Amino acid sequence: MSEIKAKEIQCRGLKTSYLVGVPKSEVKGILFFIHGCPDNHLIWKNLMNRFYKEGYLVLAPNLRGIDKSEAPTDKKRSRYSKDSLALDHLELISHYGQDLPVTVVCHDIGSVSGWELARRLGPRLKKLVAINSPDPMTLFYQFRKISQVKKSWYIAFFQTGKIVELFFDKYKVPLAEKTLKLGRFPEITPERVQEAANLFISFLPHYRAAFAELPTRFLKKTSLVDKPMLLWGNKDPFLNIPTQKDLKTVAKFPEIRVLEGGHWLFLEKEDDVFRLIQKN
Amino acid sequence: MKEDLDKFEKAQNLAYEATSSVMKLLYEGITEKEAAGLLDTYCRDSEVASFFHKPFAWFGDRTRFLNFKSQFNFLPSHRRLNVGDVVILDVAPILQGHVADVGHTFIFGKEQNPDVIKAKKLLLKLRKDLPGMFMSSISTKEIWEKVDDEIKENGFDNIHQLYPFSVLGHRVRKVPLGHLPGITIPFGWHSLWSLASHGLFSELLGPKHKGSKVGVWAIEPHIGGKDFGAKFEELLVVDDSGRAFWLSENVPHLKEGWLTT
Repeated sequence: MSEIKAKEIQCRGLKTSYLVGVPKSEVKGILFFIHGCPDNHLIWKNLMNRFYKEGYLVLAPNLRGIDKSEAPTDKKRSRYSKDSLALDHLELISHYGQDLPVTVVCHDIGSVSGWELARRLGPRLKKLVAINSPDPMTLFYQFRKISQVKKSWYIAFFQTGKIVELFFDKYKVPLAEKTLKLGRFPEITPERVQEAANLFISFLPHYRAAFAELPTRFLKKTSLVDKPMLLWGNKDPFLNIPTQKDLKTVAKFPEIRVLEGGHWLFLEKEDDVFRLIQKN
Repeated sequence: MKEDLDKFEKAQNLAYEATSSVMKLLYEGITEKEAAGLLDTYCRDSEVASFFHKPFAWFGDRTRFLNFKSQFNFLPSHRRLNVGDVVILDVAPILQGHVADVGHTFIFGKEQNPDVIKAKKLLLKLRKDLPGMFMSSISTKEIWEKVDDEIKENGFDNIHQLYPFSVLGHRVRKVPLGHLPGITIPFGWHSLWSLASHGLFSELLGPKHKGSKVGVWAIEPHIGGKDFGAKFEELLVVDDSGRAFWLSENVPHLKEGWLTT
């Protein structure tokens, strides 16, 4: 990670920590990585190094409230909204280059801001690569199927205020271990389990904000993301593989690639994911 | 008064931070609605719960309100931004009960436009002259007319004439319950209450204005060229002794390079 540096930026009064690698020679474009739950930006270190060596400016922020990215002191939900998170990302991107094409890569709940960022980049968006990472509206449509409801019951549990926080206090370590095992996380070490356990609770406001925003999404017409690439592990225990029908309200001509793997596909199949992100 | 002015200035600084930040985030093809949405998010993330009016963004010929037939035409539209377009961002956050209302004009891209530079020079002249007009013995009605004459003498059109009640400016005050969200379509209940509870017409600096000059005013001369409009908007204070001064000199249109950006 020698060329990839940890830095911080102020976004509307809150510190946002991020990893960045700026190539010394000509920059091919920006690769913007958004992590999911229960991870932080370090989850992308291998892919970041590989793209950095290919001449890309690589950026990976910690989501709001994760690690050194500050959470609002008043627990204001709006700072976790898709609009606010996307604005955080836009400010970070504009700090490094307003004219460079941007490829957005998101995973898991990183989808909330990842899909929104893709919509707001306009012609600067080169490609959105969503790895096991549906736009919340897609997930909502997937709830028509009982199999998805069975897989995502925990999202409803996350809305239960203090109850879930007490539950996390007591059971966060076994929960983290089970999540990593189910999702086929490679190399599960006690340190990784502890890290995931500590991060879990910081994601609750993200799940709550995404859930709370769903009604307004029905009222407000959003623009479609052009030709996103969706990479899905066929053994993902949390998310069904979306169909073209599930994606019709959020994407135009989506490309869905299903690979042999679990929820952390980019760790399990790093070479394949690296190759597919580069594909035009 | 001093404490209140500090709070008005804090609100104004926030509003300018929002316009300056959003200016850097604009790209070719973004719509007025999306740009106004960025202003809205920026302010809400900075402890703003409500607005005097909805954030506005106008691009290209819409900056001079061309073919605006109803009040709804003022609202941000699906008009997309092109390189070389003149852009006006106008935002009015209420911060801790204190209203700010600012407007910022710039050109998107690196193209220079001599007509826009000329318009901006006129705006800077008006900014310089306006405190003197407020301190003189002329009435507010005459100030409106003088600004109107100056705009026309320089070959431009008076665009603020097309605003509701043709206002060159309006008074801003500390509003009650500023921490509560307001429904803004396009004016919020805070602004309607603030204006109506003080007699409405005395709060609006239009061509028929009558009343005292004392107070904090959001002054917004808006002028139009062939296919563009340009404005600035900021807070002007007139104290009980009749002294008039701009609330802050740290505003984007006084910074180096504004004429050509």
